[in-house]
Amino acid sequence: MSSTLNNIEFLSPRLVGERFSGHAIPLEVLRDLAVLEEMLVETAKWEYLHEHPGRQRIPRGFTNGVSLKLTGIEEGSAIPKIALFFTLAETSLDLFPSDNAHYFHQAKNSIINAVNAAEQNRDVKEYLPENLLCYFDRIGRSLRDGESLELNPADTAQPARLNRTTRRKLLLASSNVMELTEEITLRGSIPAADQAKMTFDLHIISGPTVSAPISPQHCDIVKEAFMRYGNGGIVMLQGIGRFNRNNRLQSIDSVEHISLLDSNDVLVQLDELRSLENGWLDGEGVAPGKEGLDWLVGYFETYYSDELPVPCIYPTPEGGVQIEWALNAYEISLAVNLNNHKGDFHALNMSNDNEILKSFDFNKPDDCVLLNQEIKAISEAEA
Amino acid sequence: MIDSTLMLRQIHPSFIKQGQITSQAFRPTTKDNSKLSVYDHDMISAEKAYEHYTKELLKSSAGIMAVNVKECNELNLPVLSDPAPFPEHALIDFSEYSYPQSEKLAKKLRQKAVERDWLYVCKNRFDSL
Repeated sequence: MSSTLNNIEFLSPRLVGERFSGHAIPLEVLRDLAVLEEMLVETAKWEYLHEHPGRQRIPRGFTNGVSLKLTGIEEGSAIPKIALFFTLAETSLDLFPSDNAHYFHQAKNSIINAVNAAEQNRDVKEYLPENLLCYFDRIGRSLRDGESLELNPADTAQPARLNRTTRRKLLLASSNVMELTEEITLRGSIPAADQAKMTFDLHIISGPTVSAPISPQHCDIVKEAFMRYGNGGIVMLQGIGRFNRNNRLQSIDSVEHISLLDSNDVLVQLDELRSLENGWLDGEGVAPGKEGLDWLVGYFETYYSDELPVPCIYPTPEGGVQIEWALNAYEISLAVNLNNHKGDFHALNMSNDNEILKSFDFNKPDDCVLLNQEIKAISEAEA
Repeated sequence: MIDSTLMLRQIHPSFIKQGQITSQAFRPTTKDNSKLSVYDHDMISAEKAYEHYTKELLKSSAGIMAVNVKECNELNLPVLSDPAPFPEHALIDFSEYSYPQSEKLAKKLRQKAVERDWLYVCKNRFDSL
């Protein structure tokens, strides 16, 4: 018996955030959407058994021929249109997909309701059982701060906003979830590597030491960093980390990218400041805040040109940082307030006492670019 | 205290990166009442000043650098004996200056101190200097 594909529009979730502007969805986010299909199938099965309490198992072929497919991305903000496909027998007289569609729609609604409940601090288990909540470990994992996936954007009052906060609530609502996974970017050194087990230890700057797997494609870099341990062998690692319920990193599940860094890399220097505690300056001295350091990491990654000289970064007693460059005859310092993201720039020509004084407001993109221009101009002035 | 008298400055470990010393090490912090604390080298050696600072005052130091009285005076920074906390204590007075003048003067002092090089380095900190 031949069959045909029949599809119905099923879901049009909206991705909110700067990364999704311009009618584009990063491939890593599509990975999250792929897990949604797994969750829907399992939730539909649960819905069926819920409606048929006398049955021990779902009917044979319940999920055969059912799949979710991305059929397009709407113009404007990134709204992936996801259709549910059913394979129907050609002889079927039904104009609509099989009765099973009912359970898939119920499953969709249960997931939407659970996400809304998480956002409204209500009991998510009213809508989904604990075992199904575990799927949120992989759905929404690629979302960053300030980003969200609205599963039901048509309902502006309750759009079922999955973000880092609601995802965590959904996961922690399940007592089955002992550990959570998150995307991580870490910097550290490699004090130990085990070629038999294909694992290595990453000693995170200002953090714990955790174990990670060695992928064949990363073997050379891991070996080199291991050989240079204690002598500048710092790596930057991006991958998936496994955290306990108290948000402490336990291990690294997978490594997607790993690369060697210069020991004076600004991001390494900023990580080193994370270990400071209040009173670091002989009882005085405010420790730089995590949020402020995260912001400065973002600033350097986004705005500071790789072609410019690497500065030295020091803590200030007030809880900020002072960034310094020695360029040609100039001694340059930039005192940065990590709370308001403003900086005082002072450059002194040690030969002729010429001074350049400026104030930067790094909340303004123009000022971020101006710092690059200033450093470039000074570095080229007497080169 | 004469022109050539060295004023010993303890350098906090957090004020050194890649062997470079921040200008902050040579200007007073807000708690210092605009005066930079130093030791009078005519009265105490660099090694003894380090021991006093780290073992008696229980403060952190990676080592000692120095500027002399003449270098301070040329920058219009008065140098004052201040034996109240302990006999060898002295002050470089920045009270006439606020930011950014104090930052300029700190860079000038650092230049002189770096040209003179370390007078004493904590033994287990050679790697970071």
